[in-house]
Amino acid sequence: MSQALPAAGRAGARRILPALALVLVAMLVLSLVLGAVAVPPDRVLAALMGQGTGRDAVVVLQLRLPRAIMGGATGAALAVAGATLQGLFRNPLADPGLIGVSSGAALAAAVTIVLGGHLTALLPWLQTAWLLPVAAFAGGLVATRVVGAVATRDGVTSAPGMLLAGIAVNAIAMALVGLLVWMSDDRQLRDFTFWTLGSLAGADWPRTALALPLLLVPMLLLPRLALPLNAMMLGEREAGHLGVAVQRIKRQAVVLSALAVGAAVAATGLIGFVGLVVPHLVRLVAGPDQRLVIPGSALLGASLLMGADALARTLAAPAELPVGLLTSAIGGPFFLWLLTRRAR
Amino acid sequence: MIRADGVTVRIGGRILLDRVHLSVEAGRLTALVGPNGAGKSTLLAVLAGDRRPDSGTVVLDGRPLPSWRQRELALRRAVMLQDAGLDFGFTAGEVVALGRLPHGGLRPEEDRDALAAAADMAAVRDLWTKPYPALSGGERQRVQLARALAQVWSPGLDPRLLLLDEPTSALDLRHQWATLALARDLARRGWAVLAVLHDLNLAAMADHVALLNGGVLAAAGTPAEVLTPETVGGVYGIAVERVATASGLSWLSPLPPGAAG
Repeated sequence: MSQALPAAGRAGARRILPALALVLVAMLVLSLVLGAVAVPPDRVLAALMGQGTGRDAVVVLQLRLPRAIMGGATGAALAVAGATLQGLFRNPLADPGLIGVSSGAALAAAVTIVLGGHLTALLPWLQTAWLLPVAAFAGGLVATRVVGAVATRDGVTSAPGMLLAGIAVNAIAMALVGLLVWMSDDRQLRDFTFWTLGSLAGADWPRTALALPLLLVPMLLLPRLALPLNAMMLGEREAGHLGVAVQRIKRQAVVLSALAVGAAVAATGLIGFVGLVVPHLVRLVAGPDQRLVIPGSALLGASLLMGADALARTLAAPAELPVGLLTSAIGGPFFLWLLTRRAR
Repeated sequence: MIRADGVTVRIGGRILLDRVHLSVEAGRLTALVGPNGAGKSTLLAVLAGDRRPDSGTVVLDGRPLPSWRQRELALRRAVMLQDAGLDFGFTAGEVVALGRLPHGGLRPEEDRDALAAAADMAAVRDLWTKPYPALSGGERQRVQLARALAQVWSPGLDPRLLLLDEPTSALDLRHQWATLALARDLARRGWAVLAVLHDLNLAAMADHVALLNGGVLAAAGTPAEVLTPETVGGVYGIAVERVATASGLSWLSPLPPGAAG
């Protein structure tokens, strides 16, 4: 009988999930406490139990809670999509935007903001407030569909083909966005610019209720792909030899990621950095096993966006900073620090 | 165990394989040899089910290969390809453990036994907790071999098929011979093993040798029948002679151009 093998994974990697869950709870509390008016934790709790003062109840339950939920779900969705696509493309530096979903959504948003006035003049029953997220969501999915179709031959979708097609579709979408920006008036330009910076300011209960299922469904389904995605990091042929239905997994991963990112962008505009870097941070601690990276990214992405939004509301109160600025402003330097520390 | 019959593969106008017949029998180590571009890897891809031949058939254990479900196939046949890159920091042990994927984690004890056996056979125990991307080419090859072994290392699913594409190309001398000895030992246990090899003296350890040249099966048979100076010299275009070593081994030795014998 041979000697037992040592555990193959990293020591303590499994502890990352409970640790990140604690961080998430802390960020949730923070995002209910912080804001233009600080509400201390005991009064937050009272408001949550339905025993707070009228003002606390409005601030916590009507303003901050839906916003925290939307922020958490968006951050989680972006990070999970990033983790999935990085595995799928076998590239730790892949961004969810690579499959065209963000630029497609941006194009649709620009069309709605710049040309939406004409559309609502023709069809008065359309509500601009709802038109923008719906259009952005649809735009993101259409762009991903185009990328997927270009990269598919005889029913086989090539991952490198998707990356290349994504670059081309991004360039085309951004050129059209540029054209629309050029056509826009000052107010439209300002609206669009703010949209590209990302914000959770519009997150009330109705919008959150609309976006939540679209954000949650991919998040619940993608962890089921963790093992096949692990195998696919070895290579697509290798995964096929291990019994993985490579084409099906690839299709599911792309569709679910596009849904998640499309819904996130539709709900909040463009929020960079989360999808690219959160999975990376999780991997630094937990190793590349997608069974840990996908749920870990969900928890960390949610925490990061919730925390950043709490800061966005407080730093320049009573004004609000766009949260997308903060995620990049905090995350970028932190990531650089991690990289230099590891390089040593 | 697995039979290719009249397999032809074309890409564009080029014929990569031209009506190739090959039978990889259980209980036998088959070596597939031939010059660069002879179609060895293409034939292996056809046998692995990665590439459908343009004409001809592949039959595994009495059933046409396309009729096998992917998962069912994964329990019976493992494949080791050339240069498996990996940009993520899995440990060597995690890579080997991926070989157990088709078993679905239903029998943890069997998984443990398989991993331990694979780690010992491919001599990767010492590498187990090291990050795969930091390993040398030869170490990676041993890890990939261990992964393939772990995949089909379960009781009750005989015969098993192991397809190895140049499993020794980055190995040092000792590990080259250890790998061939292992492949032969697995064949003795009833497995069907096919190894694409470049070193003809390693190929001489096989029970059966198939020599491909320009997509055509140039010769097939026992090493003594196929690996003759005449056949090898004709196919590779270099003079070869058979020499007896001091220990009584019979060795194929190329003669450098100009050093006419």
